[in-house]
Amino acid sequence: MKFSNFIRKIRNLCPPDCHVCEEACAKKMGEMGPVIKANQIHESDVYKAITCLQCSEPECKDACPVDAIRKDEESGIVRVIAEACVGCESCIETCPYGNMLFSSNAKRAFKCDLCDGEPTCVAACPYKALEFFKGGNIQTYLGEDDFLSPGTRACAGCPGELVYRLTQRVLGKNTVFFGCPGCMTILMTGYETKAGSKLSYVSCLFTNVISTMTGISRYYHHIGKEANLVAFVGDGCLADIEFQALSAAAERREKMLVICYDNEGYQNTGNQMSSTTAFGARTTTSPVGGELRGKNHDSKYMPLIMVSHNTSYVATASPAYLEDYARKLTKAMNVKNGLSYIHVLIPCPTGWGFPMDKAIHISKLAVETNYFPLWEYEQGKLNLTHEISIRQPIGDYLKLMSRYRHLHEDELQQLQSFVDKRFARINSLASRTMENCNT
Amino acid sequence: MSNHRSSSEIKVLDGNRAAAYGAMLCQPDVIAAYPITPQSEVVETLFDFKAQGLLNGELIEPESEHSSMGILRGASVAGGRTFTATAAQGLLFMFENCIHVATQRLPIVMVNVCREVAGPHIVVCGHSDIMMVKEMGWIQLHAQSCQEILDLILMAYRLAEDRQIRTPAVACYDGWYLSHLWEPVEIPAREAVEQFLPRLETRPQVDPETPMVFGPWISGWTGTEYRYKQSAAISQAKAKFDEIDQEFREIFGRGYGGQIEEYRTDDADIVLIAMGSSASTAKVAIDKKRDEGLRAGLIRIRMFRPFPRERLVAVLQQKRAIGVIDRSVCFGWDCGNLFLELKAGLYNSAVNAPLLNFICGLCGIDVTTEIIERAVDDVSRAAQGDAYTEVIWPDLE
Repeated sequence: MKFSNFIRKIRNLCPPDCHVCEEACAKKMGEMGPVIKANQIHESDVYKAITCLQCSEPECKDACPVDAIRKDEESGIVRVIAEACVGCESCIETCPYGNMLFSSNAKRAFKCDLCDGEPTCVAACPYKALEFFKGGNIQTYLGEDDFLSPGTRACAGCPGELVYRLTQRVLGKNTVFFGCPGCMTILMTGYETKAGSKLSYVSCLFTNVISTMTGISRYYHHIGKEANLVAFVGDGCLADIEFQALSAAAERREKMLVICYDNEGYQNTGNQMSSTTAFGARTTTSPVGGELRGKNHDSKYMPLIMVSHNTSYVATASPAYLEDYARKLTKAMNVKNGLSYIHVLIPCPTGWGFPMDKAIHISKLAVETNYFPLWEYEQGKLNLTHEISIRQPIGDYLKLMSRYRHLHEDELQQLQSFVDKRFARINSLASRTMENCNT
Repeated sequence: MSNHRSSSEIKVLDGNRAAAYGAMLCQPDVIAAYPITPQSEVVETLFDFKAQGLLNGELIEPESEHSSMGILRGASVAGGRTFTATAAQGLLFMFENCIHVATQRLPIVMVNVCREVAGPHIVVCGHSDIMMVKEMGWIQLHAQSCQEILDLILMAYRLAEDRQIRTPAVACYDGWYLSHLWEPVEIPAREAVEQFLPRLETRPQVDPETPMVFGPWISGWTGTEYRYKQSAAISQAKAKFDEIDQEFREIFGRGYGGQIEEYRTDDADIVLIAMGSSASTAKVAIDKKRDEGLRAGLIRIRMFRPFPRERLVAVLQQKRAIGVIDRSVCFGWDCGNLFLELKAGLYNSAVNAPLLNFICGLCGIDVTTEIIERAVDDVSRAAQGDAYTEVIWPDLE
């Protein structure tokens, strides 16, 4: 079984001399000693594991000469069987993360065992800065094949490529993709007689993706042929120039899956503004200079608009929550009676201005600030699929990108207010079901 | 002549309904059409046929003409036979997609009911719509009667789907003058249609079992090759149109002359050239002039794209003067579109007779027999060597 659960830091709130987590662990572990160190946690980044990752294929287990290390199939916990351990320290040397520890008292190895599923440190932290993260089993969604050839290009650090590749692997061979000029086109289309993607692809104009798909969907229905028909196109296409066509296709219940990769602008052509660009963001057509302060109005919220369209299935998704995305993708593709729509936030290192290794981190923050809440809508019900106990302030997200570098405090507050109001609306819809409509 | 006529039926139809019958007889797999005056009855009749179980294909009313043509593009790429109808603003709204499908060699057939494009915002007959889009790479055909509308659709599919041509085709007829004119129309039997128009055969282009990229990026050299082939292919439609006219005559018992209809041109001294419904009015005027002793004739252009240059040059040999009736204006050239094209077509030919242009029937003004008679008189005087004005706007005099 390929998954891992572990403890991770989710908030940067540790006061310098707080050791509550370490003390709680020490108390629980007894003579062996704590498996976590408070000062290491203080220095750690958010979303990083603070102790053993409970690896899906533990190297420590392979290194142990006496089979004293076992991974529990159900819980995923990697345990040292105390009686069997001979204290050779092979596991300690092998662990790439330094999460296997040696007790000089007991003369044997020990490690975090997640307190058998109810981690003490998480419960003890007065700031709720730690989280028991359940890694899930993304691998079970993926087919064996990778349908992108080596050498197929995208910007360094682009999470769109990650999402596209995953989409192909989840949906499989019987899929026809549709796209148009945009960032992902390079992945999807070919040049002359060669192509980087091994799946069927129909290249369209910026303006006729949805209508072309409709024609094929209807023709396939006419001849009794079944295939996954999937658009993988940007906010520029779906929120702007093709919004009319998308709206109509949803209203007509055309059978297709439409995935919007939202990088909040026309990124392929160099970061021009789109209707999903957020308030205050700098783009080439919402510049900063003199009186101009970036985009001067709020973005429109595509996924909620699609809910109002007879759309059979609507969801938001994030590159940082791939299992959530894979699950939604599978659901969306199984819809038989109309259009499915998934809106994926794709942070863009090139256009948004952040280092190429930060896309996943920014994706997580987008969700954890409620800027981009994860939810799905089906059969009249809207449900959050990832609930956050305490939302992070939007400033933590904005300060990581140069496109917001110019923001004044009042502009930041305006954006915070927009985020809070938008989330409140989603949240209120989420708590209301068809049954409760009349109350 | 075949026996199929005995199982056909005659109905009194207006042009729009004749078009709907024509489409229905060809059993498109996917029809996507957006209503627009004066074409709406085409769409409504097709939906009525669907309700009666006469149409097996998918029938969609999308939210715009742009999407209509996009839908046909998809269905056609996947191998289906397709159909739509439009006019004026709708034609312009789908223009981008029309060009796209022509470059991709998709055998789509549509009907355009000729109407003036706005502005001014008047909803009347004119040829400005179809002339605005003459470069879109489609075969363009024009009817003169309700019967011909139905027949032209069958012929349009034959041309479009021909393996050497594979180019989309638009069958045009004048708004109001034909779309809303009721005439007896013979609706051929299904078997006769199937004899004339075989099933559309394509290779799989959108099939997960043989994955392909349809429409990749290409180099400039490949692109130039595409253009060259597209240009060569549409030109094949000229000779083919003449050929299938013969075949049509044999199966259905009527023909029209192919690229052009020659009316009393053999011994004519002067010839008028017209396109669409005005040609039938012109024939009445021509007959009257003949009765008065003038040797006048008429060429009715049926195929405007590709331009029937060779046939025109052949007929116009030895003619002493030529008049062109234009229902549109070519801005920047101070003349009408047909006139301009004819001039280009006659260059380097033996035809060097005076050419006169009559821009009339714009914005819904009738082209009357009086206007045609006056045109014949002007052309006749030019034939005799009198000075003449090259471009005349009769409706403004």
